[in-house]
Amino acid sequence: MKQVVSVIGLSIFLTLTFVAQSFSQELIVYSARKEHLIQPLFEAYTKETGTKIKYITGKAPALLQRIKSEGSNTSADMLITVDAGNLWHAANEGVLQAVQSNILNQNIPAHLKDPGNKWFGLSVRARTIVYNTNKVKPEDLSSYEDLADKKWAGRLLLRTSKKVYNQSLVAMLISEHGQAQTERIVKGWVDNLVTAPFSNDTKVMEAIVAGQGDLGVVNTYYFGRLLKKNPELPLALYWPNQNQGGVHVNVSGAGITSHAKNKKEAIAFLEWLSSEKAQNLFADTNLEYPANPNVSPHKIVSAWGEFKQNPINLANAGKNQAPAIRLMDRVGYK
Amino acid sequence: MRFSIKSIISYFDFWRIFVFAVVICICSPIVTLLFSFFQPEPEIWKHIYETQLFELITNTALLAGGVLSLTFILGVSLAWLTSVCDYPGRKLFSWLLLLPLAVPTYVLAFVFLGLFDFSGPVQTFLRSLTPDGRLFFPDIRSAPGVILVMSLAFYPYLFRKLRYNTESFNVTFCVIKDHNDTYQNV
Repeated sequence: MKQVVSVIGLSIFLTLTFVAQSFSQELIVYSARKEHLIQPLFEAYTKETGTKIKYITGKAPALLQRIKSEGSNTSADMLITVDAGNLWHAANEGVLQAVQSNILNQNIPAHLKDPGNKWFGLSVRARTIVYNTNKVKPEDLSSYEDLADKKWAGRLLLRTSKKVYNQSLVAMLISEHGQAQTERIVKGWVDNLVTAPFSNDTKVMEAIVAGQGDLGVVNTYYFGRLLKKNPELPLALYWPNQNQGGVHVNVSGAGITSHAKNKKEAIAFLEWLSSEKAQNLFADTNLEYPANPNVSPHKIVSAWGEFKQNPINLANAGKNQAPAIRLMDRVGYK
Repeated sequence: MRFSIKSIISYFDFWRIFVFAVVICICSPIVTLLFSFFQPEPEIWKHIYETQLFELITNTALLAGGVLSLTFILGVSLAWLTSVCDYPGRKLFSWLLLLPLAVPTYVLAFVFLGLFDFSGPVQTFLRSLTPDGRLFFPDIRSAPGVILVMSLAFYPYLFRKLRYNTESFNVTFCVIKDHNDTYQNV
């Protein structure tokens, strides 16, 4: 008798949980963007819509490989990752599907999304020139190309070419100038280097502060983080290429997986991420620029001044990534 | 020799199969990697050959030679100094010198970089002592720097081996004349 009761009880319990499961909406996200940057967004979205979000985080190539090998069995509905090159690879490997959405088309500028609508940039980071205010006059600065000039010999510091941000920067230069000229430019950078490239942007800036070199190229949010800790540092940002091209920008962004089980919910979430109320939450936690041009950036970020972005579509950062890596190998940019 | 069913079954007994299964599991990642040799990408190999291959091989040889030599020098001399000679603190040193075993090489590398790079505390302090803020200091992010760090991480293995051997053999290595002009076996 006891057994019968417990079996009936268990089956009622299981049925109820199954029913509850099938009614509550759920979304599964694979994210290469750090947990502490995306978790607040997930919480806010669940609070607003009731859609639960499960997520795993990891390195971009590993997550891409995972979605690929999971194939049609993948539980991922959405892939969030940083760098246009990574997003391009995901689209190119066929793990993302095209999304037709007027809201996304309205909110995200054309150069910050895939021409085939398979991924959308959600926050913008500029990779720009940083200089020691005691040693460099901003009038002497002009462009990325100018950093190859002899006047910067023994003064330039760079991060390693192994980092995808530098690969994207060089890839975008290739789409602007072609390979031959870009190779001359990057060769000029290497000739101007004070010391071997650093492992990260923060080390580049610390070396500029210590006086090892006078200027370098970094992502804006690393500059923001460093200045937040110590506002007295003699560092400033310079917006290059304002008369020709524009500042090299990159994105963190997202796409819907080809085999998404909850496609409708995933698109709704992506649209929400591009909306004005989510954009500040997305960009401000990491001192980035919102991708949606109607949203103004964080106070600290807007204090760095306005600038013209390079309008060339970021898909080129992926398309030209392989030639960029080879080019940097050839000129000895390590 | 004749194969009977019995001998085949006894050949494939449980433990043998179990061991094979474990070995296959352990080796599979390495074997997968080795298989990539059968699918060479000529374009990439050509690029690596033209740009980096010789530099990488030279660096590897330099590193291997350098680390081997410095590890040998450190390991042997420190083992000698802590087992053959006697002085206050000898016992203490003989186990303190083993401590680097507890530090992974890459952690040691980060610590060295943090301390001795241009913007690190050591060079910053030394620069503050010079009148014009200029200072000659060898670059830690260099081949000699890597050799130094790796040797400091690896010498304890040699040191431990040598120390253990000299203690267990209990032989007279050298004779030290002490201040009373008496000879003392160590």
